[in-house]
Amino acid sequence: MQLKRPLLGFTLTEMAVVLAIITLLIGGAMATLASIAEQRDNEETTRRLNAAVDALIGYAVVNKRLPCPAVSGATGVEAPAGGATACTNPYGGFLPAQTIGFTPVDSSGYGVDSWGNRLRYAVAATVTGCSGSSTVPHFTNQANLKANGVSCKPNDIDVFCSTAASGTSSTCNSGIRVADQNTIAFIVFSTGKNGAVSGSGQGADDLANTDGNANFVNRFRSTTDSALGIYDDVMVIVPVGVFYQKLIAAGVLP
Amino acid sequence: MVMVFIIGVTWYGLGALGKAAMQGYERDRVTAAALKQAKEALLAYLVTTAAMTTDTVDSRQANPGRLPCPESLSHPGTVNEGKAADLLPGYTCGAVGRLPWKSLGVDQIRDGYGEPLWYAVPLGTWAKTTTATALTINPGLANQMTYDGTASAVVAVIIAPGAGLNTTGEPGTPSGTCSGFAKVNQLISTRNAVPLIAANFLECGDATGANYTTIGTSPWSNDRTISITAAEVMDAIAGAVADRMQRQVAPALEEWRSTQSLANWGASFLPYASTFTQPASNDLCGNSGVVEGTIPVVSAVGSTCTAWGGGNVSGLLGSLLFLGCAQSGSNYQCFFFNTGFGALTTRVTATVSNVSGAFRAPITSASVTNDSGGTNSNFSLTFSPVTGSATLSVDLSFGLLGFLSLVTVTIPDLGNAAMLSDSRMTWFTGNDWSRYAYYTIAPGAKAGAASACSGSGDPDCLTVSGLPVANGNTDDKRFVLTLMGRAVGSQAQPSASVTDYLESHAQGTTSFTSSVVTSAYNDRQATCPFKVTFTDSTTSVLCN
Repeated sequence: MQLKRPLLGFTLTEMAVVLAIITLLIGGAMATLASIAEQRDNEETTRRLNAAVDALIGYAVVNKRLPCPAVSGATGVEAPAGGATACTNPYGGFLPAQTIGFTPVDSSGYGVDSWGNRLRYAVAATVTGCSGSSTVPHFTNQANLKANGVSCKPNDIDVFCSTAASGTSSTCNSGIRVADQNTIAFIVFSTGKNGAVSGSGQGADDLANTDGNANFVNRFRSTTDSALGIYDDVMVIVPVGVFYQKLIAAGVLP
Repeated sequence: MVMVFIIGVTWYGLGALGKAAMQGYERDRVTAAALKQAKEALLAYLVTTAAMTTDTVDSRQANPGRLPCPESLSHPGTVNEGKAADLLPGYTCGAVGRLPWKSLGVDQIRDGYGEPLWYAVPLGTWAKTTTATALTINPGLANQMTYDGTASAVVAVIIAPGAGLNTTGEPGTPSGTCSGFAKVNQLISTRNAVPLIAANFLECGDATGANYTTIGTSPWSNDRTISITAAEVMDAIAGAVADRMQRQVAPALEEWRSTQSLANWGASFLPYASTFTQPASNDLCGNSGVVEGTIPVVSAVGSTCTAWGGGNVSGLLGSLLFLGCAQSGSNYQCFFFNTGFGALTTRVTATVSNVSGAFRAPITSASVTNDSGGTNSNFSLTFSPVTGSATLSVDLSFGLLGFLSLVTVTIPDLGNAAMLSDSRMTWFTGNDWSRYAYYTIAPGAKAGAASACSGSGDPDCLTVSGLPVANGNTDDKRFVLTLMGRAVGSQAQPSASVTDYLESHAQGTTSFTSSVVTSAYNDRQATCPFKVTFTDSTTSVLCN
């Protein structure tokens, strides 16, 4: 007697195992893809910030001064234009993308990071240590920059490790600068994935960078799990020596 | 089932392989970028400190080009992390440590393995050991550190330590650049314990300072380094040094011309130049009639640039036997016998040469002494701008001197003028930058000039064409001090020929050309008169 051939196909158990494996694979892939995307966004933002620094210094070489930051509600140009007078908003403004020829920009002409948030830019407005008499604005004014000379050091922008008290962290707090005082000519930064404006999702250290004063924070990224709270800004600090060195090499200074 | 399993394994395997390959490449790229960024930040720090005219931290203004100390090995994890050791009180600088990123004004720089960068300097030459260490940094200072087997090749090395290594299990003995060094095990739990130990991060010559290498020899070392040479330091700080020459040295020189020389010698003049020779060996003593060369800033201590001569003692009342005068140490002494029996009054005269070839202060009556109780009167020290010498005359009156008493009259050498210890000048002279600054005085600014350099267009002035309008006239200069820069084009340094140093001026002329520094031109002028103009059209006269 001929045995009946078994039916082709999978049992329910087999199907369940296969589906479970596929689910695991897809889940892992999705997590990996999310991580890769986040890393890519951060790297792209860092690349744009470095490109912005290059564009700012290039602008300074050509125009013999740094541009002022752009202000909100405009078109991504420095404010005021021309650099004759003090910057409208030296610490709380945006990268003047149109003025320096930076791309990519948003529909209003402001330079943006990989999340579409506007890049920020702050430039020192006061100086110290000048040999002889000096006049401000220094970095954003062609005549004053040349007349004041390279002995002038910036005297306002400070970048700290955090706004937190020393009790929260002994190695990263509001008393610890990430760069020595009187060394920072300008900074360019992205407010990170969580955006630029006050609201849910920003930590105190994030918000410190958009409050319009000369004190900023730059540190490692962290989430709510950290005692220091959320921080995801990405910042490039440009020492005054780098700025002077480029302009000396270009014959603009001293 | 089998197919799903195979696809899964293959996908994972390819992903892992790709990830590993990318990590290695990516780490090398990050390390290279980190080293480049660190070098740029370090040179930028030198620009900033070279331009300083005051510094309350550790008198960094005194030595343009002085390298910062590494971070102290005890400071990682403390509030002083990232700070150069020499910017903290009571320091003792170590030759090797982590890069002082915070003092450089940048965020902490890490290599592709997440390790903070290290940094090594030569102590006692380019960096201070303690705050009391005396440095002399100028374009003639040599490289000090061995790099890639070449002695005296670099002045600083920045090191990316890479991942920790354990070479104790490797077969054979360390080879290549690691030949002669011991195997290491850096994979220890105490690796990051402070104070840090360099050998737990760096290998072979990088750890000992014996021979820094660009790339360590695998598998014995995985260090990657970038070096900084003396030439790179000098190129970086030249602009800042020139700025200080214009803002500090030039006004001090002008003050000498307009005020100090007049107060000291009764005539306004700039001293003659020392005839140009190889900078490192120039005697810095002006030669009469020479209007261009090296600025004559030699100190009176140990120098015979200005010397007394032609001494004489004659009797005004009584009689004496003049024996002669001779130099004794830093004094000029004249000797005579009293050959009379009553009171004696004598007149001592002598001439000090080359006053117009140095920055010297006159002596006073009180500084002329004798060993026999004589009193001074009618003292004069008269400078002749034409001869450049000054003649001393002083009368000495003695009471009753014994017959044939030997009298010694002592005239001290001229001392330094105040401007040589002026804080605007000390960095310039103390580091011998003066040897690398070509000094030219206008025909109307030298001692005994028939007519003074009186303003724009006067042929008794020098001309510096190419100066911006904001800096005033171009043809009214009383002197030009040119920072000569390193050799460009076909120039060869060191040299006794000025053409191997200068591009902006032809010897024997009164004109200079100011230009943007290029690969063929690197002169930088400081001059007077010179002004700067601010944006509101107000001006600041740096020197009048």
